[in-house]
Amino acid sequence: MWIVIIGLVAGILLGLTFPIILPLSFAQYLSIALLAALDTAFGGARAGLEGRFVPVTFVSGLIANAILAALLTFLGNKLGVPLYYAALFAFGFRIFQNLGSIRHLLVDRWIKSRSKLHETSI
Amino acid sequence: MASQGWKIGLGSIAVILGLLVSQQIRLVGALHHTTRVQQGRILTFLVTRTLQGNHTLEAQVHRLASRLNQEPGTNLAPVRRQLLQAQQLAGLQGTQGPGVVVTIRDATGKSYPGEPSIFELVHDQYILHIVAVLSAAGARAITINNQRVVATTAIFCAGPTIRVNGINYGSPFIIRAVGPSRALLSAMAQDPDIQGWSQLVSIRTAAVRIVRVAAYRLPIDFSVAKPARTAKSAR
Repeated sequence: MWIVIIGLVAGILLGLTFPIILPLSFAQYLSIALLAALDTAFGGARAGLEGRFVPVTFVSGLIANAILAALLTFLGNKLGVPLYYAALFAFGFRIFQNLGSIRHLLVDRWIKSRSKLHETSI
Repeated sequence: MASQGWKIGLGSIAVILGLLVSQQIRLVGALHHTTRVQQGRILTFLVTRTLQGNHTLEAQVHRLASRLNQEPGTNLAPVRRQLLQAQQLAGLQGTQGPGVVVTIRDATGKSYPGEPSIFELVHDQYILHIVAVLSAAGARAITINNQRVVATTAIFCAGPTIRVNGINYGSPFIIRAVGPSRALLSAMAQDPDIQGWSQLVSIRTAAVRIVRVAAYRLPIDFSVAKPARTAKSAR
């Protein structure tokens, strides 16, 4: 967990100090790819809390989702159909689902630890 | 060992993600500072300031007009009557009365095989012709999408839009005309050009008991065209 946070902070600092900025036309692709990555990250956090985290699944999901979302956006731009919104809706929906599950898991854990503490004190 | 490898892998991915996040933040920041956006902001500010200025000046005009009316010994009734007539003729006065509302839209139905897409659009000539037909049938005040048709009004195609009084409008185009409803309806229904265009685009005409037609509100520029000297004015 710590290595992920340290990596993220290092990456953000590196990106902020990086002298080159990506072309503006990449903004749409990058944003949807980031949303896909965020979806996978929340999925990974949920799997970790449920004890089902598999690194291969996480990494493959992260890369594949990001690339597929960017490709879908590119295809949508070429066809003149805003497929971008489809990806946006799907990822947004999943992120909220995962956040809900994470919240449930954390609350359950907290309630269990409280009741355990109560039992030991008795 | 394998777990150590995964940790390094996850860390590397996190670094890349962080890099992308910061790049996106910088990109969005750059987008907000592009010339176009800044120009838009400047234009919005200028429009808002001009509108505020207009409101102040309108209030000043009203104040001065009411002061003028209260001046003792002034009989402005005939002058005001003449001014109202001139304003109505020039389209500077909002008008209301019976009339018709014509709604023209680009074609929404399926086009015939091989039909050029240009036939599916409303063109300036349709609007010009409808305005002419309505005027000939007795319309006394006409607006196109709330732009009053006045002596200086120009109506012409600008890409997929039509420019009226220097402002671009897209479909639908709503023409409001104050005048004898029956005559206007019958003129619209009997015109062969309008009948033909109705097959391509949607042209709907409805009689309305009270049509409200807005006044011309844009700047009046007659800097090039000066009043001609006549024998009467020379005297």
